[in-house]
Amino acid sequence: MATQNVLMPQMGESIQEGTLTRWHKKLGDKVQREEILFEISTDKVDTEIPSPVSGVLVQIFAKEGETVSVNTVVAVIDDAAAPGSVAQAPAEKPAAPAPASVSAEVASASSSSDSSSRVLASPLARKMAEEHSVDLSKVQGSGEGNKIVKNDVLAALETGKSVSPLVASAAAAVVSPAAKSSSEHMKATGGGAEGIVDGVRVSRVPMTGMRKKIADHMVMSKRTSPHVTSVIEIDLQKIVDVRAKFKDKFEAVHGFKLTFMPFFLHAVIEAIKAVPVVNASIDGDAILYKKDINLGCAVALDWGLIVPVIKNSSERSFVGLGRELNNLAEKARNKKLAPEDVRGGTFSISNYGGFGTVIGQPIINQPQVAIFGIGAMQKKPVVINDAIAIRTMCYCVLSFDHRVIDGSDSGKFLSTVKSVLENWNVPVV
Amino acid sequence: MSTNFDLIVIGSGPAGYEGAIYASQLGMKVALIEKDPTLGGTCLNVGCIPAKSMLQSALMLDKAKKFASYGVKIAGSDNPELDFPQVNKRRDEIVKTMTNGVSFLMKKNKVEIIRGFGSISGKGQVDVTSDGKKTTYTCKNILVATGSRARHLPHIKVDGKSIVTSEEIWAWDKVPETMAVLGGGVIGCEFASAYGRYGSKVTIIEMADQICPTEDHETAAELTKALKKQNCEVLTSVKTKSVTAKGNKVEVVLEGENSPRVFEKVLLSVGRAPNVENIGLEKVGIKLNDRGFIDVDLKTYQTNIPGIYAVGDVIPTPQLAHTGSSEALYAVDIIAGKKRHPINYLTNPAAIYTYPEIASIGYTENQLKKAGRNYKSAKFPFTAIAKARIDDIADGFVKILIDPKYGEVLGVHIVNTKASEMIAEFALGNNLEMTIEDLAHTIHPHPTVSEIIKEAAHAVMGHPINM
Ligand SMILES: Cc1cc2nc3c(=O)[nH]c(=O)nc-3n(C[C@H](O)[C@H](O)[C@H](O)COP(=O)(O)OP(=O)(O)OC[C@H]3O[C@@H](n4cnc5c(N)ncnc54)[C@H](O)[C@@H]3O)c2cc1C
Repeated sequence: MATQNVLMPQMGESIQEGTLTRWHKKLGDKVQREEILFEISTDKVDTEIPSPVSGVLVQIFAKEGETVSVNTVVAVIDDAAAPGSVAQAPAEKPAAPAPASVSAEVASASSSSDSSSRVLASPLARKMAEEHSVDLSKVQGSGEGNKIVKNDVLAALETGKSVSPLVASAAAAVVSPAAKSSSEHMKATGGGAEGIVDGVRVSRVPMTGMRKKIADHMVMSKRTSPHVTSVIEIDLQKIVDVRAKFKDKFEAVHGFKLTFMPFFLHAVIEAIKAVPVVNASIDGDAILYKKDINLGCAVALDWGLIVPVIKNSSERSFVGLGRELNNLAEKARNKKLAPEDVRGGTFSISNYGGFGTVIGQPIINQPQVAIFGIGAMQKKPVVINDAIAIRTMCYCVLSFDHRVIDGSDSGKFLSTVKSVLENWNVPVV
Repeated sequence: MSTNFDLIVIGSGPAGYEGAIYASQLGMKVALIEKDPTLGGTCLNVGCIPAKSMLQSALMLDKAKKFASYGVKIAGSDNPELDFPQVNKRRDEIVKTMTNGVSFLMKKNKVEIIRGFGSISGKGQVDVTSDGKKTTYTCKNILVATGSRARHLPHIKVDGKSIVTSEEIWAWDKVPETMAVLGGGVIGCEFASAYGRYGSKVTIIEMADQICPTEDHETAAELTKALKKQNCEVLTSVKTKSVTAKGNKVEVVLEGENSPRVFEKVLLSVGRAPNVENIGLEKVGIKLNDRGFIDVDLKTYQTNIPGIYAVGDVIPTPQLAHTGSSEALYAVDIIAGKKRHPINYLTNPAAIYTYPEIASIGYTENQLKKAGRNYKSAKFPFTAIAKARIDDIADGFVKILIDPKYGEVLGVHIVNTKASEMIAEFALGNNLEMTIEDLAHTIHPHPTVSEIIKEAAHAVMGHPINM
């Protein structure tokens, strides 16, 4: 028999773990190489993972909803087994019945919401549960003697199942005395998702894994870097004209639409070359200047936000940049991004202007040190040579980590972007 | 003769003999096969135990030199000297007592000892060759615990006299005037620290950019400083080109240097190779990993062949006695049908018994940096601890690395003569998933050296008390 372990893939360098959201195959099922085996969700990406080999799925170590660290074995595929055969796995995750004494304890604990302290759990698991209002009595322990350990709480947080609304509002009561009665009220109204908090009718929906991870990542970034945002106003009329002139020809020749993004990508690359410190990260007391420019472009999705990365951006032509961005956005929307596609970003771009926002203050995507933001394009009367003209204008910003980047750097960066766009001279077709 | 056993263990090192005892205690009929005349494996015969005995003699010599400063006068003790034959005698006695102890434990626990070279000849079948005679034994399960041996290098000929590994060095009957230690890993540094203090002029030659390459860079730097005070020259990022015995001397040529350096003796200490040859692995098709270690499933310690397990130095986990014996007890539990929570190797402590000692657990700072993890670190020096000054062991520090989010302890690195004892507190704590607050809020006795643990915990939380 030849078996192959299936691992939780690394989806982006800062990612330590992922949540297995759905198995597409059952134990004993036959699976073809490249056939979708399971889906995962991490703080950067939701994606489908294809099977590394053909064979029979003989062991499954990670349940749906379980969060496991990168490179953990989540399943085993046997390329020689007959369908339906399943390996005996003596050490499969203990879904086994708990010893009587422990299960009795858990059972009695689950009858009241404040009895988490009587459940067998590690101090770390307890602390995490407290911070996230997880009801430990509803969590299945996988540690020695069925003790609830860190990974169990993480798994519970992922599925959101054990986050008890009662416990959550009880925690809030510590902050606001008035909330106590509202949590009583919530109990009275059934304690479900609908309730009243601080006299306001609410419905409580647990965050999805992706949303929670975005939240953590954003808070972490704000804590890590002192952010400063500078704004510049750019005249895009020339770009608008160039695009209008070439867009039909471009689509006919290259097979995809000419958007404004490649213009911005090109300008940003030029600006990074002029101010390399924006394409860096901090390593202890040193600055790591990145020799590759890998641009991450935030793509909004119905279910969240993903930042695919255009590798070696500075080595690509104008058309190449556009094509790669188009490919990645397409893949993101179809949940087909591969781990490689979201890894290795060195600088990010956020395009909130598409929704009409004029100025934004994007948060840095750690461990990067700067992020470029693009506001909405607007026609405006502007003064040119003491005459009033109608031009297409746009505010662009740079949020930067003031530990390593100064105002002068950011000024130089933004003025380079502006100058490249206002004096556009790169062929587009 | 063929007796049917529940379990046959091959190798009587700490992994093998502890596994055998435990299996017997769980009611299995167990045989333990050993090819060497004494039980106990590398650890008891040529490893941990004799090495620690040799280091203790060096420590006593250091202490003796300081008696006057403690206010203790012993007639004629102004100039204490090393009695090397006695160092060896004491060491041999300890080894003998301990290996006899293992034989006694085998009897007490009704483990059958079979002398000879064991090799797997089929599923549930082991051949034992002794004095040219072969006997076949059958069993339900096999536990391979054949351990490891000193690694040799193709271009260096170990002659067992002037060029030795940690296996032949025990036969030295005098302290050499000069010696080179090729390889600044754990074992090399321990010998360097002992022989340096015995009076040898030692040169450590290490290829990596720090000695003890798997340890935190700050502890390695601290050890380097200490070794320099113990007659040791420490060369890092240096490769050895050739080693040639010439008469009573050994010539060592280093890369980038043309003229050889001359030493009386050379210790080759470049890691340990797993004993996987001629033990029948290929007969049953047991898979090795790309580094030549037996591949096992770390949730069972079973090889790719059902019923055949492997633990200790033959598998690609840390090559430490306590790691091997923990794995053996684990595998025996699995064989007995018990459920076990997988061993978390981040709770596996490591210790180096140089002066001062180094002990560590979990990640090093550079590993965390490389993984891009968010961490907080603090270092607390022993100079601030009264008892460390009283005991005259105020060298070194405790460094704690935590994940600031929940206060999970990610790594601990201790440099101090008591480091190996103190790391056990972290092994327990990490195994129970303590948080840094648990550590800071644990009452430690005063005055003790281990108080530093509480102090370091407060320091990493941002409020060191006694500093
Ligand atoms: C100088 C030195 C100092 C060390 N200090 C420490 C320390 O302080 N702390 C620590 O934790 N670790 C230390 N170690 C490492 C430790 O000794 C090993 O990790 C440990 O001994 C491994 O145990 P084991 O049972 O896997 O194998 P071993 O101890 O190597 O035992 C294997 C046994 O199997 C026997 N054997 C092999 N093949 C066969 C066969 N085919 N048939 C029959 N018998 C066979 C061998 O003769 C041997 O007795 C040190 C090692 C050395 C060399």
